[in-house]
Amino acid sequence: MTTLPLPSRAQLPAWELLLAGVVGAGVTLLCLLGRPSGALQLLPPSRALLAISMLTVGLGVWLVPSGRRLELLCVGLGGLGCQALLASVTDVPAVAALLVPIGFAAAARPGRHPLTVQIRGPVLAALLLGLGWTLLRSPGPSWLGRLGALGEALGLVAAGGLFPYLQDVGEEEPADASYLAWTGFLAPTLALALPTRLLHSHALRPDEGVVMGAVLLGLGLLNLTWGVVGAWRASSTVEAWRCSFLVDWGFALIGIGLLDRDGLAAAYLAMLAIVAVRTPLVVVAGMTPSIAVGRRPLTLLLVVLLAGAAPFSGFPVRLLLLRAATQLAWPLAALLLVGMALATLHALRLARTVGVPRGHGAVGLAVVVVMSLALGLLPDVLRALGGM
Amino acid sequence: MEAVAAIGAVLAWLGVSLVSLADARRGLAVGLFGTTVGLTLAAVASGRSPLGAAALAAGGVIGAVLRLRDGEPGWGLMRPGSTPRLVAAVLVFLAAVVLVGSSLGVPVGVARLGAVAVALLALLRLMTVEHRSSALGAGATLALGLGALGDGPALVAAAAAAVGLGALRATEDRAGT
Repeated sequence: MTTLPLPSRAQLPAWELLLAGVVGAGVTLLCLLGRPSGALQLLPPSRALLAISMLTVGLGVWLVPSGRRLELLCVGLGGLGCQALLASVTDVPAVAALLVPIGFAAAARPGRHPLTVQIRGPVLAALLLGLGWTLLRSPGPSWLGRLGALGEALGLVAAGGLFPYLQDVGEEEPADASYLAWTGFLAPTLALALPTRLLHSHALRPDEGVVMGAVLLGLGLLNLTWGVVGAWRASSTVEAWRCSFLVDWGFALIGIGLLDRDGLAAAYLAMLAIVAVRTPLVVVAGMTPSIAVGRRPLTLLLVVLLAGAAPFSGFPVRLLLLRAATQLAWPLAALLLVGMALATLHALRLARTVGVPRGHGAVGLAVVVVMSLALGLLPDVLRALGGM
Repeated sequence: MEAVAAIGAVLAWLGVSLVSLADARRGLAVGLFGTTVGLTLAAVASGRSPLGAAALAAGGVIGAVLRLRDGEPGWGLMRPGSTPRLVAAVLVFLAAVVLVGSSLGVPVGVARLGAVAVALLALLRLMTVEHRSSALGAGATLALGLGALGDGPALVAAAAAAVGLGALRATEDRAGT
């Protein structure tokens, strides 16, 4: 009979992390079961995102060196719990209140920036969302409601650390301790759940919907441009990858801002791609030193994947966005086409930062490519799973 | 009931002002306690869920007691450089009146005034804070203020957040300064 090798005491993470992992796993289970009913309700798109996130956490844990696996598993389970909670809680002020301790827990991870700096993004997002919701439901002049809608849109953008709330990400900072944990893992949940809840509960009057949509649309286009230019001009690889998130987020924000069935579906697929493809790619890129070799088959494959060309994950997002935009206004579709063409530029720079992966890195990259293919080839299945 | 809600709102504002002006554990804990009492009074007076209000009170008090565990000893009130925070405390209350002024005739509106003032002032403190213990105190206050903007689930979430933030260590050995 063989015995399982138990981690030695020196390999065990701090008790706070172990506790976070256990609590996170428990909370995820409760959210999946929808208990207590009434307070927690996981909508189908959030359920699909949570399932994809579980795969990403599993892949991330498998990719790191064995000495860090238990630590990252605890962090990942804690993150999944936070994600499930943010997606399941039906009350927006409750979500805002929960963002504060989640932000502190994420900021308390040892990283390049002190907690007092790292916490600013999540707490600003919490205030904007909470205050925005209050103003939306307040009796009074109509400008208060429009101010509330503005707060909701800006809160969503602040949670993701997107333009104009860009957070500094350090060169040597691990992805799980930097603000990328918000941009690539926690904020997509919020971006899926909040607009869906706002639309389902009819909390927005038409004029408030226009304000929220216009702000998200404008910020989406800005993030798209900023991401492409930033990724091309960034001096460091980490900065270039951070900017690449802005490109995906830009498409997602535009999709949400269109407040249209196809637009929301595009945002949903973009969020899945951020969690399933973009975030693991950052981890893989961090494992392999970049090389100055062009036209390798792998580099060409990554260029196509990152450019959002068929048959990869970015393609259905772009297609759905164009369809939604042409129904609203053709100049917007033309603007989007320009943005999409520009977005291919950053793919070249990013693909070259991924060196020749070996061992776990090679398998990890293969899994990411397969996930991107699955997202690109089966958008209708995923839309059906997410009820979109 | 409107008078009780008004007393609660003013008490909550005084509490968060203390959190904003304090840099040591006693000042932060008393400020957090005052905010909790004020927000609970306002929540009860405005007809919020009694269970939620009780949870808010319990969470806030536990969070305040836990804040006494670590951090710099004493009150740490009105240290040099705190004048802008004092001015901000007054201005934020006025801003909150402008934002929710249209509903001040009913207890719900008055309670909302207290919660908005607490959330705004706590956020301002968090944006300029340098010490981890002050950040944790202001964070717990912000969570209480945001929770008080909602009903039952939000109040319970705020209470859990206050306890969770109280449980985090204020020592600055793991996450930098």
